[in-house]
Amino acid sequence: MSEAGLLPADVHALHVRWLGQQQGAITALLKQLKEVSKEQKASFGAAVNALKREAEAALSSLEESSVLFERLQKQRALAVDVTLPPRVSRVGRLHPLTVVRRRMESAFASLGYEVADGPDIETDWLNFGSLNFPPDHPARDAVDTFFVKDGGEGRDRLLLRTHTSPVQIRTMRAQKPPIRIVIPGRVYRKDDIDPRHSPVFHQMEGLTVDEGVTFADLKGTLAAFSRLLFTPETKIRFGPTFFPFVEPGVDVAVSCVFCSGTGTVNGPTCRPCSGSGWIEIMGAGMVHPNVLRNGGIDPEKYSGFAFGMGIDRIAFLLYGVPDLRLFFENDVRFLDRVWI
Amino acid sequence: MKFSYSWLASYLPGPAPDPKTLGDRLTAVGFIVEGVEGEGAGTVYDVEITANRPDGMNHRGLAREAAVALNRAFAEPAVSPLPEGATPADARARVFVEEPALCPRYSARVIEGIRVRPASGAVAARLAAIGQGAISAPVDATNHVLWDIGQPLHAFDLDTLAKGADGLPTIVVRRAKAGETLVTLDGVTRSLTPYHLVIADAEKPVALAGVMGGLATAISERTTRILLEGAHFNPGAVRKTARSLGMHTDASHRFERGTDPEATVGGLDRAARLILADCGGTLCRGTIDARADESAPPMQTLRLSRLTAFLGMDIPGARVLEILAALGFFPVRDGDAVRVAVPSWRIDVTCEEDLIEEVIRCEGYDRLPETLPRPYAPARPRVSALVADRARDLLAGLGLFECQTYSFVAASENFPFESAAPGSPVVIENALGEPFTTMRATPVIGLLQTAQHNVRRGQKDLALFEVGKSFGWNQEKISAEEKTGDGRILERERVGILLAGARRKHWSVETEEREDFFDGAGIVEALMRGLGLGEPRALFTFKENISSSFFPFLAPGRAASIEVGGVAVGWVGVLEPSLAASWDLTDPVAADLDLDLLSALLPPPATSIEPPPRFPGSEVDITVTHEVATAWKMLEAAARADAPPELMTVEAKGRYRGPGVPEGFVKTTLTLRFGSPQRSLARDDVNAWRDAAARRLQAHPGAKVDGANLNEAREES
Repeated sequence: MSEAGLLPADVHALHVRWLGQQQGAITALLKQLKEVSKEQKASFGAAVNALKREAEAALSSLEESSVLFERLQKQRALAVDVTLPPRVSRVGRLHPLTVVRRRMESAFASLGYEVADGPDIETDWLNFGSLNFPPDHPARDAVDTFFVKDGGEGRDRLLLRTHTSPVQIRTMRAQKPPIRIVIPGRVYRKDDIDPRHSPVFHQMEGLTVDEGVTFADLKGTLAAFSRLLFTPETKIRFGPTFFPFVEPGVDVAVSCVFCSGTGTVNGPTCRPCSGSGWIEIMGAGMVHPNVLRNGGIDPEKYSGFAFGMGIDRIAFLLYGVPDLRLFFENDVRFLDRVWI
Repeated sequence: MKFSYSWLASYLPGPAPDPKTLGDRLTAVGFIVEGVEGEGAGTVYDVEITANRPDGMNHRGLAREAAVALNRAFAEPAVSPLPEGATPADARARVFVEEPALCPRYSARVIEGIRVRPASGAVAARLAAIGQGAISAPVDATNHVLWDIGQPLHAFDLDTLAKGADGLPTIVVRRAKAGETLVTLDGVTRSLTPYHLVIADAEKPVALAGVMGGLATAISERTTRILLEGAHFNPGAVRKTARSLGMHTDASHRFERGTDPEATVGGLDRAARLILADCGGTLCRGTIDARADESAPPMQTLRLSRLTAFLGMDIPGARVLEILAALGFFPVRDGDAVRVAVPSWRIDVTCEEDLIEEVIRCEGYDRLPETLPRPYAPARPRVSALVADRARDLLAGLGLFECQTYSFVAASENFPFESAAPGSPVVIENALGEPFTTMRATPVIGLLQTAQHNVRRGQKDLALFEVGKSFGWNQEKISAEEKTGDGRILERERVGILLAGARRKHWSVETEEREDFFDGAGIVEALMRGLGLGEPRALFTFKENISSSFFPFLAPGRAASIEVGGVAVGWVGVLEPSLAASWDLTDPVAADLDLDLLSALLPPPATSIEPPPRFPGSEVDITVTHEVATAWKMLEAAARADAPPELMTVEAKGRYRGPGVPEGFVKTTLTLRFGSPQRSLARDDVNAWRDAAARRLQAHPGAKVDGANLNEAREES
């Protein structure tokens, strides 16, 4: 697109034409002054000089604007189509499970919890025996376990941990109460792969041991956590159940994040909670006295609570992901969707 | 597990409870009703019963819980006395228990002169309601008792049992002998060993104790005399027998979890009553009852003060007594203590906390207040976790996608990478099959799976990483034949990196360039800098000429190991081409760093940061033509050797091969930067330093410094 305007060269040409020493029209008028009659000379001279000043002023102003115009034209020549795609730096992403783990860790950090960890491959004793799962007990049926080939016998048999609970025992053995830890980590169960099962998944467990820790403290802690992770209005509900390493043991449900606990979404039944308004997100309970003893802690002096939940399942709730397999397939189009 | 509403209600005297309320209340006290079929009196509940409550796996037991949950009475239905004949049972059969530890009680009754018929309508209807098929009146009677009071029974055809020396059909509870077999009711021939507990007659096994009876001694249409077995077996013994034979039955399910040792005789009587009613016959007098020492019911004490302190809420003593009495504990208050006799069916109650649970679950978890424990100040978080999370942030910031892949991979996928982790591969004994058998040596394997998966779905130009563990056997422990304790397996937290495809593309660039070694090494260097190991301290190096036998998975000549202070912490390189091709990839670049090693080698956080020099520095370029084989690091070392402390950095400015440079040679331009925190540098000094460096470069065999480029020092602005 061209625009009318004078460049400095054009203004110079005008200057030469009107005010130039050789051919300038106004200069020529001044040169005629000596030929003008005496009585007219004064008025003629005044008029021509006025004209000259006017022309000088006009040219000076034109010169100024021509400089600006030239600068503008040079910029115009460099103009780009700013609507074209920019040269984007590569944008990476953290995995949704990392993002969720950090959100959970930070909620627990604000409640005074430290992060602890331990090995993925554990002994039978640390994964089961010390946690009050006797050998040949049906409680083990609930957790199908991967064993390591040539991994030894009995309590020393090596296996892929089925929960992060062995770190509870490791921590109690290494540290005197008060203990307040969360244990995020990978766990393994011999499940076939389908939308709701994965042989590899992630848990976050927590353990509190101190003098005077109560069952009500467990409820208050998990309520506070749920409000921090979901919404300030989230409620929790305890239901009795059985885990060998706690007594009493409870299933913990939160008010459904999809229907705010109402059981319906704009009319139809809320599917994630089947209309109940509650979604079970974890197991919890007061640490069994046998487990405290196995950790070298006197159950008459100290009490404690423990809880555990699937990070993958929490991520499923937070992101509404319909299929657990998506977390492990790592399709970059899926990974690209998570930014907080 | 299915339960009939009307069957349950038969134990709840008074007005019939509302079926929905009954289900809700069962859920509230821990017997979770997962499904409901039918309605009204025909309601059937599907109840999830946890492994610790076998006493709830029958209608009487569940009705007892329902009564407490509904706060109403529980009662056994009234029955008339059981008619008995004159012949004593022990004149018809003998029972010997050779393994009293595995079978603490074996009770039996004998019925003679029956005619086997189908079960009566009432029994058949109850069983049908909970999905149990009808077989014959005697068998259905035993099944009814199992679902009624939880005592598994077995009915033998007495006349099929081999007789002992005294001429009587004989029952022996013993371990099987090696080589013995038994055809069980399902028609399968079972090979037995002393691992299996069996019921035998005088000659051979006739039943798998607590699991399933034998076909040859089962009730048939011809049966006229029955021996009814009601036993109490050791849970572990039944579990071992059942699991080793791959069997699971309604009976084994209960015995494995623990039955009520006091229920054997009551169970026999209930079954006998049903059989007599449907099949006629005469019940022999008395019960054969072989049992180990009868123990007094275990006593437990619940301290009310402990209850309050443990729960963090107060429950009145009277209410505590009410709940425990309704559950059958016969509580007696003694000041702060409540002493209870644990009912024989409550094998799960073994400590004070168990009693506290009984009270609070019946009182209702909704009543539990929400409080917080006393404040607690945690210590500093672990460094290794910090390193892993810092690495994640840095790599995501560098434009890579974080992945999460399975810790186990196919043996064939792991094989080329075995040397990437210390130790030999850890294999899973009972894996799901390939590709899930072998614990990975590096997360890079999962990234290759991920890249292949994405490429097949039309995604390309991938930049991926994963922070995860590698696994390997600890060779030292294996050599020492250590079979116990920690440390047999080495787990290392690693970060794997994979670049596969073209570099960042843009419409303004016509050619597409693939990511190459320097892109991978660049990511590693950026990560190291971010962790505090890179410039300006340069604590890490890329080491060339790495051994192909240690890194068979990398392309020779396009790979380096990464060292920090002489310790190898990882590697980076182009993947070996045939290996890359097996993943449908061309020249992907991979890297792997051991974060556990790195976290131990990280420099401490900076505590005094030097301000940058206020005086301008100087830059000079030196161009040298040298053999291709001469590594950059030799040039850099030559430039740095004997240089004054004012030499700050040596950078590679350019490389040129082509016309004007002989074959086998390359022209490299180095930029040397000098500076001083104390003073401005004199031009003559800089030129002298440059010339000295040029002479050192020139001294390298085959090297020639380009004199025309010995230009003047550039002042920094």
